Amino acid sequence: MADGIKFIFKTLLKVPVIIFIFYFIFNIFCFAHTYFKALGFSYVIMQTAVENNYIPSAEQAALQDYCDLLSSSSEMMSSVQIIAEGASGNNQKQQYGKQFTAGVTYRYRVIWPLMPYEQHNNYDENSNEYANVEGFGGTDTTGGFASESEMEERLSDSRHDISFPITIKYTVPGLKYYADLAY
Amino acid sequence: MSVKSIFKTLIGTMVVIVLSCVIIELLNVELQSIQLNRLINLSGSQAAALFAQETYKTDTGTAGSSAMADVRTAHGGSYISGKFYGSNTSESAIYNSIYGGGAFASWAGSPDISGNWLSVDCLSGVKSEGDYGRAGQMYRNNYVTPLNMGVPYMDKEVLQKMFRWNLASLLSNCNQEAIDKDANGMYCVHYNGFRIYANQAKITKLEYRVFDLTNMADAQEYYSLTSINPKGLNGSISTSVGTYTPNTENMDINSGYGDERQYACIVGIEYEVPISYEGITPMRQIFEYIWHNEATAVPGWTGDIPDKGDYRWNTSIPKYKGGGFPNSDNVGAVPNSLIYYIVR
Repeated sequence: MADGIKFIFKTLLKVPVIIFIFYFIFNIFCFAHTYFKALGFSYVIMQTAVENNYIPSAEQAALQDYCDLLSSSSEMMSSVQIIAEGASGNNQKQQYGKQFTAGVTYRYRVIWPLMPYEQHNNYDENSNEYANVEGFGGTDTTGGFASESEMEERLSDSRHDISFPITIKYTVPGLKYYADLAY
Repeated sequence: MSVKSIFKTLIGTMVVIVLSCVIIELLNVELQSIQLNRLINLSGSQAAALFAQETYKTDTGTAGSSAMADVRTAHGGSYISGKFYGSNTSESAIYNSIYGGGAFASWAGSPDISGNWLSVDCLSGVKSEGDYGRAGQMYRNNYVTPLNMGVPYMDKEVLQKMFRWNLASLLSNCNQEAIDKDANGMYCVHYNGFRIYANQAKITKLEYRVFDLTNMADAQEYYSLTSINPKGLNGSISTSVGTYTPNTENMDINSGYGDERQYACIVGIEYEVPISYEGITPMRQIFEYIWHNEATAVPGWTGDIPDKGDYRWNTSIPKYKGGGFPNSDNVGAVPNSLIYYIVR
């Protein structure tokens, strides 16, 4: 009997620990995946800057489309923006050899689950307690499970949305000569 | 904790550290080598474009693209000169240094080049009788070059200077702190675990290939190299690759030369860049520390000092392709190539 209770408690402890480890590994994988995606993208932006000494409008539009795609298609990446700063601080055509800073910046969002009590309709974000869960002989006051959109909203609020900025940028010389620009 | 478990923990820790370092290094090499290769190629192609733009014709004097600022080392010294044309600063001096020497005459007189373009032959003096000689003189007086006639002639020395400057500026991210000495006291660009000896980069070969675009085999090869369909050079749109039809209006009947657009020249630029890998993890430093402090310096029980061995990690390739780089250990010359062409 004692062993049985021990086993139950072990299992009870193991389950959240395993969930925690899996989410941790999942986040490492997601971070690496998004980082390498951004790294490749920043390299394309840098190469465009080297070849033109700035990001021409046509290329910028195409790159911005990809930024929007990254922001909208990924739960982990948001606010993806191109960095394009010449000597004047703006994305302007400049002469051969002048420095240009090019790259990409985005916010990486950590994926973390809602706690069980946060998945109910009557969840009180101030109490953080299981007060509404039906107990032995009690009545169910949880209000049932919240809708998917409501849970998504909760995941995006300030308490759950853990995100941080990542910037990958290069300072490179423009390697194209423009006959119409002076030194 | 038993002695066995202590050793297990020690060995396990070492294995984890070494394996982690190896994985990180492998990932770094995989990612950076692709990027590095592309950046070197980009430096070369932009150098060829810069040379072909003949910027010395507008940027004369001691400033501008023909006299850029030197790329400097972390200690402030000059690493690569920005004076692509040496001490020459005027248009005439630069023009004469490139097109007045034996290298140009040798190129223009070679069987592959001479006889294809009347304008180039007049310019170089290959065809000099009567009016052709006077036309050639007029070209030279006005600093006309083969590039202006759609034939890509490159000066190896100038191109190499531009290539080195581009390479060092690009890989150092315009940061002179990234250009520092290696263990042998040689300056190199430190780039994500790699050492690039940009000041020893070489343009090893310029290979000119002339294609007769009226010949189907040549037209197909030209298309495979440039993605330009010779058939379309007439203005006719065609989905299939075809030959160029010479335009009789472009021919000089008296000279015996055909349409100047019939022949197209592509220059193949072969280059070598000495590169070494030092890594981004401290693994190598740890092994070197152990080797220097344990294997060679600690006396044994009897007071003897173990054999020193070859502790320089000596894998130098003294006679690597292209002559090697004898003053630097662990450096290999990485060869590659690119093409440059002009569409007339």
